Amino acid sequence: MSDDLKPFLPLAPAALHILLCLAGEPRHGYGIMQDVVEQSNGQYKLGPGTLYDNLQKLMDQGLVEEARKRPAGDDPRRRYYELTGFGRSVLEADVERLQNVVREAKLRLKPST
Amino acid sequence: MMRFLYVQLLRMHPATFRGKYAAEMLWIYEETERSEGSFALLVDGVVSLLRQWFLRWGLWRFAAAAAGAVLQAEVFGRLWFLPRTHAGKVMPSVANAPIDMAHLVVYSSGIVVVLVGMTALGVWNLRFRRLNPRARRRRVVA
Repeated sequence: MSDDLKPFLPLAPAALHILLCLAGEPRHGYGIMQDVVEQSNGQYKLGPGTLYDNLQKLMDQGLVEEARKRPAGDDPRRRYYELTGFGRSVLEADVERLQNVVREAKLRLKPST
Repeated sequence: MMRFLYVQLLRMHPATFRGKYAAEMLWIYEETERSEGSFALLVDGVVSLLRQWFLRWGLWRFAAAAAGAVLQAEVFGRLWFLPRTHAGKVMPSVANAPIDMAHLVVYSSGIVVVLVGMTALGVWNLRFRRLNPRARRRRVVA
């Protein structure tokens, strides 16, 4: 893993969910909120305050940026956000970290024979 | 009524955050008011307000300075105003002793110096961050 990514890991749950939402395509704030609920089977919900606070932080850190393209005729109040290349690298590194955690957990929680 | 309160909450956010996100937050409020409940959205708005001012704008430094000053005044005040005994006799409290009151004033000036210093540091920090929006990012990466 690159040293540049280390200060960003591990990602907070809200940041992880937001980056996962944006991994596929650019989304607006409300779309991110709905997608987070879907991703987590309704177990994790973001309020608008939490969402935009995290988005602002992720944009400051250069992981997310405002998308240049938006659907024609869309509500002008909506802003679309997308992952940057750096954001994708951070997300991939965190997913890899989580995979290691799950692998380790499975080993340790294996029922003893 | 709840929408009015939410709008007021949004207005109280720092200008930069409000300018960027308030319109969309209000739009989401209108979309989700029925499904999420307006009270939950209001609570989220209050938490967001506190987070923006205290964490993102660094107001916690001012709060910490004020709390420190109050604590210091409380502790020193109690120490100075405690009745003292000397050779079994209760001495008059410092409130009645002009020389001790002078000491209290000297110690109080320490509180003022600490408050002014912390305020200056806080203001400098806010100005620095406003003038250098990438400062935070650089600090995280470094």
